[in-house]
Amino acid sequence: MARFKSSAWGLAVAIALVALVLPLMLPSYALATECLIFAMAALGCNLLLGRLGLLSFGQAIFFGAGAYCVGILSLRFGTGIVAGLLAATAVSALLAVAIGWLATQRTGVYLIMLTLALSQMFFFLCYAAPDVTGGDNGLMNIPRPNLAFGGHELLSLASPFAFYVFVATICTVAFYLMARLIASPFGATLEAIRDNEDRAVAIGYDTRLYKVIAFVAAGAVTGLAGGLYALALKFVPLANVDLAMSERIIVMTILGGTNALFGSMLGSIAVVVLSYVLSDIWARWQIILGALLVAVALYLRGGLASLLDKAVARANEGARP
Amino acid sequence: MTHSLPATQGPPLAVSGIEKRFDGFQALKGVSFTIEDRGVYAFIGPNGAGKTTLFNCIAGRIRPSAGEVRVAGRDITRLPSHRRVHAGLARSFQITNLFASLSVHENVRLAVQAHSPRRVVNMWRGRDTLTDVGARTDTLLARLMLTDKQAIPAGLLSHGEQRRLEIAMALAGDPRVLLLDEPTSGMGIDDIDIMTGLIAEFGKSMAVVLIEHNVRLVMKISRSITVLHRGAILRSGLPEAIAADPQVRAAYLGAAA
Repeated sequence: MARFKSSAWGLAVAIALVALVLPLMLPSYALATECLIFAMAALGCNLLLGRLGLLSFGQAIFFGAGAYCVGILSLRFGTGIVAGLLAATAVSALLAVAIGWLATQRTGVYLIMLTLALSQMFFFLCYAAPDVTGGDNGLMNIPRPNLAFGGHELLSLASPFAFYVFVATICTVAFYLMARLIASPFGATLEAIRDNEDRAVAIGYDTRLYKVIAFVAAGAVTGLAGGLYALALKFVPLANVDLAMSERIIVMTILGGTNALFGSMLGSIAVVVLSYVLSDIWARWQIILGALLVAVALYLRGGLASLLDKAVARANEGARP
Repeated sequence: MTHSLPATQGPPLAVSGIEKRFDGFQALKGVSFTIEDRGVYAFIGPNGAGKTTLFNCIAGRIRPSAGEVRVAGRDITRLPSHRRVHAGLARSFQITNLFASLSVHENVRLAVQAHSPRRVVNMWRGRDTLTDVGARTDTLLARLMLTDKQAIPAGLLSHGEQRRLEIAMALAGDPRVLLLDEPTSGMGIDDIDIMTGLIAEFGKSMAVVLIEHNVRLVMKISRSITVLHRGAILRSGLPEAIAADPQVRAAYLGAAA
């Protein structure tokens, strides 16, 4: 019990520390904000891939849906920031019920193909509904409401710093909750399904139900990330629901590593910062990102997080007399 | 255990008129039998007699073309595998089938947790905090003599120990019917003796349905033996009667000699 709680708290502290240090290392709060937002998107993918072994090419559906939700509510109805983000989370979770239910009809390669197909469908659905989504142009000039409760303004989020603190808080809580989830009996069952689904059925688990619930948790946190991204950019591009967005989230997840949730934070920082630095130097910078992914797939199966593990182990060894 | 069975309204296991066709091949040609009480009930027969097909029809891995399976009076013919477990029917696998990368303790704990009524909704507690689950897990580990090995990954157990772990997991929900598919296959002589004793023990508290090639074992512990031949029941009766039956000897024992 104690260990279980402390591991979730440990992760929360680690995320908070990263959030504290990140702005010092990066040129802008905007960039640091992007790192944290995509860490949350990768966190959802990490749950599916790391705990269940499910590769979903549909994460952009949830990310995009969350972004559109906040954009539309804020733009058309002047909805507050908390209500907007809660709605984004709920809408993405509901979508995840449908996507998860459909995709988990099959396993393995066919499940991946289903998520891919659904992702493409959702993209063209958004593309073909410019009245709602702005189509190719996206939704522009989205206001970023201040943090308010019951009509009282609590905090202005207009400055990049204030918004960064807001995102960092949500990100830390999201990682904490996800850590609690995977340490729970529910999380244990997901690992059992990953290890041997046949056996999990034979001892009495409705494995599809568990998979759908995992999709919902992953969809919710990814949708929340998408909602925050809309507020960060003040713009919802169609690219949010693009297949390339799903790929980006998967690349972050695998690069960071799926053995630990913290890997999602590392993967997000690596991809966001690399694309920022390299895109200035070389227009074909994605080749380097591709090469990095190849290197991880070949030589570092645990991702960047395992590199960190090794460094810690070595430091401990060095510290011993 | 927190998991409760519906009130008993019938025999532990009743199978009637089970048929199975695979692309024109009739694997089972109307198999019917009823198990009225606890005890060990063995099914034997030469290869291709339909033993495994029958087992899979009962366990729910394949759906029979015709016929009906009832556990404690409840029709489970069309119930998915994971719900059969909760109806009181548990199974072990012929080929060892475990969560190989998880610890022995975790394998059993997961099986017990599957019968905890709060198994899905519990997203907030530590996985080791369900005390009733923990206690039941320890009992099962002790019963199958695996307490010493509980911390190591299941994949590292010896073959005999893995088969025992299989059964510990099958027993998690206190089943009325336990299906065992060749529980001693590939085992060394010492492990066979241990397993034989355990199966006889289980027969005192539940109906154990056993598919087994080891005729000596079957003769020793079975309350009744059923001989399958070419997809149908050839004979069913006490071990001594079966051993003495000329038709059985011709079809099975004779063929093996």
